[in-house]
Amino acid sequence: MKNRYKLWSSFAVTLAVVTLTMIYLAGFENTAEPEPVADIDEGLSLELLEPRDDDWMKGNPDADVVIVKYSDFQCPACRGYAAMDDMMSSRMEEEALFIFRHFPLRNFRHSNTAALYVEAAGRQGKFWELHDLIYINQQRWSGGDAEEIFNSLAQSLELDMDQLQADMENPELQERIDRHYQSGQQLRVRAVPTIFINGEQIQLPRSIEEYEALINTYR
Amino acid sequence: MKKKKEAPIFWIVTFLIVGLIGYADAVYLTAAHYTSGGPVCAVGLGCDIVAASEYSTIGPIPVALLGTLFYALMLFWGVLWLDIRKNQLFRWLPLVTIPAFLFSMWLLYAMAFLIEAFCEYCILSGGTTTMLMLISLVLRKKHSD
Repeated sequence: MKNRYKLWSSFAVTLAVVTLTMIYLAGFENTAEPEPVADIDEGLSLELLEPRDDDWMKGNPDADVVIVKYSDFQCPACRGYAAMDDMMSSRMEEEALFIFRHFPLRNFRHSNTAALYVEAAGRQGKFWELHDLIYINQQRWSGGDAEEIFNSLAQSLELDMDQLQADMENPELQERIDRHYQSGQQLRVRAVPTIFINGEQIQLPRSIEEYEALINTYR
Repeated sequence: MKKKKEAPIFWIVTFLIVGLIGYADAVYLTAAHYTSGGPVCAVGLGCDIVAASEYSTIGPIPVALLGTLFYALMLFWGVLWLDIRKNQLFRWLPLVTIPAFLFSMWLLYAMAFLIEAFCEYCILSGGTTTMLMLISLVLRKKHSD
């Protein structure tokens, strides 16, 4: 009887110790994170979500509604939201400003290359055109020869290919992508796409109607 | 028949140690989910992405919480055997460990092919669930009454 009591009480104590230790570790590590993300104050967050010179924007720069999206070219969900944003930006051209920021996930093989291509296309004034084509063709290049497909998409836009290749080697492009990524990290972006409207992170809408209704609540 | 009478203590102790590792891992993930939105992750793997993905919860319930309950049940099962020493306890064990193993494999699949990011804590949990399932099969085959 005594042994039995000992057995179950040791079990209960072990379980309690492990549980409390893990809860402590989870809480402690999260609050002790060196990144400013854990303690980001509202002011900094709003500042990071202001339109910046190196942002890609569509819509009305003076609109009351500012939508900032962190996105990755190879993420399947981002493809859906790219199409949704494309539709919304033409539907609400005057009412909102749509901002695109890169958040290339490290574990997608071609995300960063796609971002570089789109940035280079931007230097020839065709950022959004290649952005759209790369998303539309995502399934083709995700599992195939991505660079060959990116090149053929760029050619279809009649971009100067020599200039495009030269621009892609320019470190400024990667620096811009990295700046976007870092601002996303500071804002605690943990999944893509992540969308902020007027400084507030939103639950991703499930339909274009839901998205429109949500944007309208900020007007 | 005789060898089926007593389960080697080795298997039970291994079962309890593996269960305790899985339990600690699952409690950590559950606590991280409820405290500030995610675990601390190794750079470049994307465990934060996995933890924030739609596969990390079933409705409002985090998958890690289900894992915590599963491991707690396994630990209880092991300690119950140490207490009452009834080998028929092993007969029903795979009914829990096999579905848990299959669910764990689905999560690993989702991680590799749907989310395309890796979460080291989830891989650890996949390993502990697999080991618990294998040990439960050994116990059932060799030692259940």
